[in-house]
Amino acid sequence: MNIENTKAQMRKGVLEYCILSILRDKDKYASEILETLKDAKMLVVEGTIYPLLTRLKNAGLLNYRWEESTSGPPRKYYTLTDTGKLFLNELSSTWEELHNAVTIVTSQKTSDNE
Amino acid sequence: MNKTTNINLGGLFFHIDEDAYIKLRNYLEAIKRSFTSSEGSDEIIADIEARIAELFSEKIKNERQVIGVSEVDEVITIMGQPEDYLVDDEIFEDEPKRKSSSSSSSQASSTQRKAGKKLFRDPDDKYIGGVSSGLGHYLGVDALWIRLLWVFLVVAGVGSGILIYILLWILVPEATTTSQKLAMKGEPVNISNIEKKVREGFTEVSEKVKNVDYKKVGNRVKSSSRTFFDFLGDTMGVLLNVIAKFIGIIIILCAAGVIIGLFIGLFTFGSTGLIEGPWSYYIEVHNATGIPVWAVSVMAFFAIGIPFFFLFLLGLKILVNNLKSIGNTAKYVLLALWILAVIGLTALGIKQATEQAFTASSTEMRKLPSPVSDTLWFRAESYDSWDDRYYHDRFDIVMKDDSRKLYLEAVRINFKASEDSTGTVKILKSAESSSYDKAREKASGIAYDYAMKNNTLYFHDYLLTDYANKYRNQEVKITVALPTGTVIYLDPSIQRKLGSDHANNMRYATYDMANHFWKIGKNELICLDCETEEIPDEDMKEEPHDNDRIRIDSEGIDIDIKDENGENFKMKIDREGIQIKAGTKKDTVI
Repeated sequence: MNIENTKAQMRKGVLEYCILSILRDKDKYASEILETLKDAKMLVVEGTIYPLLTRLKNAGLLNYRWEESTSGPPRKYYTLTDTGKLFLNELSSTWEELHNAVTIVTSQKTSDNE
Repeated sequence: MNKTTNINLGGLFFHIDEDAYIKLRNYLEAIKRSFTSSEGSDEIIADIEARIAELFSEKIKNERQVIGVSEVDEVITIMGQPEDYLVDDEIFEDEPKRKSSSSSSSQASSTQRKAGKKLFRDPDDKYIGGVSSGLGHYLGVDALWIRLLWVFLVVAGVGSGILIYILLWILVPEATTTSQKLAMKGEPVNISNIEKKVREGFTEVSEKVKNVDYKKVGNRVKSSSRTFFDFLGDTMGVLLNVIAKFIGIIIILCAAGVIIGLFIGLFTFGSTGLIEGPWSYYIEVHNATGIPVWAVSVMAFFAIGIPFFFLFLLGLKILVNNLKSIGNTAKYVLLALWILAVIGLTALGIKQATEQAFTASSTEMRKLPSPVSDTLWFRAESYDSWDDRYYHDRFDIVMKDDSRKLYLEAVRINFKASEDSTGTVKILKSAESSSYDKAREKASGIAYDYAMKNNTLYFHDYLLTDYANKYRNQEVKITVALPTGTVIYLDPSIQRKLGSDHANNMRYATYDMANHFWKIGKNELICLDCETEEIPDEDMKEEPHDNDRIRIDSEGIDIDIKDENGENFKMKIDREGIQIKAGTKKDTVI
């Protein structure tokens, strides 16, 4: 069992949820999403995000529009679709449940050990 | 100093260093390859390119700055290696399956990636060219074993291992990009993995069939049947692949075996003339063409080796998908070499054959001291100094009087009755060559002698000729003519040298004539001491009767003879004693 691999998998498992959350309030383009994720240490390398964005878009959870930029070529701004919003809500509750469950399980374990 | 290239990356214009450009291009290609069969790959690539362009433009201070290798390296660190993209793909493998549209394609892409293991040289783990470590990755073996195998091949194969190594070094590309390194280290192509793959396919299909009831039936059946045919196709593909690889391995093994054999040959027999070996005289002396043997060997090496080399390449090509071509120039050069070698060999073959076109002989007559004594003893004399001989064989090289001579045992002795009362020894020397004159010259170059002491004639059982004359079927045929009635004794030493021109009254094979006394008759030799039942004499010329019986064996002697006059002679000697009956038919008492 490779610890790095496990860590990466854990991170990547919730990556979709994170991306959708980032887009909850405001449309953003890829670099902005990346910035937020990297600041939160959710991402180690940027390359990971592109296939994921495309996949979310293909699944109908995201949409994008082209917007002119002052500093370069036009940028792709991603936005949540209605399905995406529903999906996000569902994920949010799942995450809450999961978080609680994990907290209970892990803290129980510690108390057992004591 | 370095050349720069202009590129358009994500709609932005960049000056980029040539090295950096190659690096970036390889990187993008590697990523592209990991997405080729997944949905929306072009879009992903475009996004990635746009992001890289953005990163570059952040890094450069003004329009004129050139992007170098270090900038590309930094960007690659930020974006991640192609395997980072791969892990991502695998983690979300389940996810797109739920959306049936992309299920089969992503499935296929992951299978393809696993199966696509390629042979590369590993630059990160190399002693010479990284061939061993690359082979190690490909076969799933530690490179140490491959290296040991090379050492063994080089030692046992007289350096042929070096040639194969160099060949692989040239032909197998080096894994420079990350994707190549990944492909190099992918799952080894071996039976257990193939089996695993087949089993995976089975479970998948059976699970899908099981799930049919629970899911939306129409959709499921469609997709599962599709997977089933995909699986069927995959299995067939894997099987064909296995068969092809197997054939490839056989071809490679055969061709490599022949090439190794040729190499050993080239460095042993072929080096004649360059390196002295125990075989070199042997070959040199048969060589009629005047072309050095090593040159002939090199030609033979090319004539046989080149086709097998191409066979070897073919085998490699079957086995390894990403084999580099040896290039057209190399191919044509090899083809030309091969044609030249074949032409050369043909010409030499013709020349060698014409060397035996003419046979000539030279004759020497010598008189025996007169009068010829009643009994003559014939013995053979072997070459006196065993140590001077090279091979200690019937074909040999000897040093005589400080010059190298060819030693042959092609000597035959025959006997016949002479016309008068004198005895003569005729020595006929013969040899072959490309012209009559040359053959004659070679024939007279044969040194042969005999000696006479008292009543014994000592014949050499060998002939010598100058080494420079080479082997041209040199032969010596001796005919000893003696007055009729002379008795000769053939010593066992001469046994092997007796010819078959003379008849003998015992109908003996020439080999059996030794160790007996023979009288020279007019037409044949007459044995004087052969232990036989009957020695036909000059005065006993009757035809034997059909019923006559003479038997001598372990049971005894049984003789039963009748003549024309009815005279009858019977004799029986056995365990019971001796019985003798003689007389005419009428008198016979049984």
